[in-house]
Amino acid sequence: MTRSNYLFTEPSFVEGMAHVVDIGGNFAKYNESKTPSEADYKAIQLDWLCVGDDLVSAVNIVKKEIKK
Amino acid sequence: MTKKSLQNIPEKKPNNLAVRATSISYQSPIPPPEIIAHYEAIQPGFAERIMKAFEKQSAHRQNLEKIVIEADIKKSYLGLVCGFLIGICSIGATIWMTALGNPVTATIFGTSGIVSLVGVFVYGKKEQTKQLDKKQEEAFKPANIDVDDNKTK
Repeated sequence: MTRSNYLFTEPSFVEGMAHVVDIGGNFAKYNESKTPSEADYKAIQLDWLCVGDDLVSAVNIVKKEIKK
Repeated sequence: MTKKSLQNIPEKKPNNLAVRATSISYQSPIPPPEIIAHYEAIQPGFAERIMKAFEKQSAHRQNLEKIVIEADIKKSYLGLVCGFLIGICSIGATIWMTALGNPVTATIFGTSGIVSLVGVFVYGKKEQTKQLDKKQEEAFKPANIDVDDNKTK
């Protein structure tokens, strides 16, 4: 979840309540990058890290199966 | 000892002993093909099983994330409705108490409603910053396959 939702925070009850007084519309905050290129780089990196996580999980699942 | 005499000393020949140390490390979001190939070498078909498990794991993760995000959005809407009701009740009570001629009670109702909502705003903003900072710290750490045991770091 940390990788997939890197840009924003998970919506919550408190966040919803806080939006009632967010008249200026500045409550929402994001993990910003200095340049668009950096943002693209991070996005691609995180996508592949997610793929890597899944592959590592898959390898570990199969390793457990082998041990059984 | 002169320079010439030093040159006359026979060079000590090293023994025919070679030490070779190999260290393999990788830094990549996905495991290198060699690791998958090693599993295939143990028994043919393992790589395919790993890829199938990977596809299943990927679909499971994406589905889980979708469910969690949708639930969180619902919670957020609920918070919005509750906050709105608190605000409306607070304003309504203030107007009602003023109409009844109780300015002190009206002030208490009005202030408590506003203070609670502003408090939630400040707390929410703080939590948001904390969560984003945590994500910045943790998001780019790669997961490693532990060869010795089945722990994923």
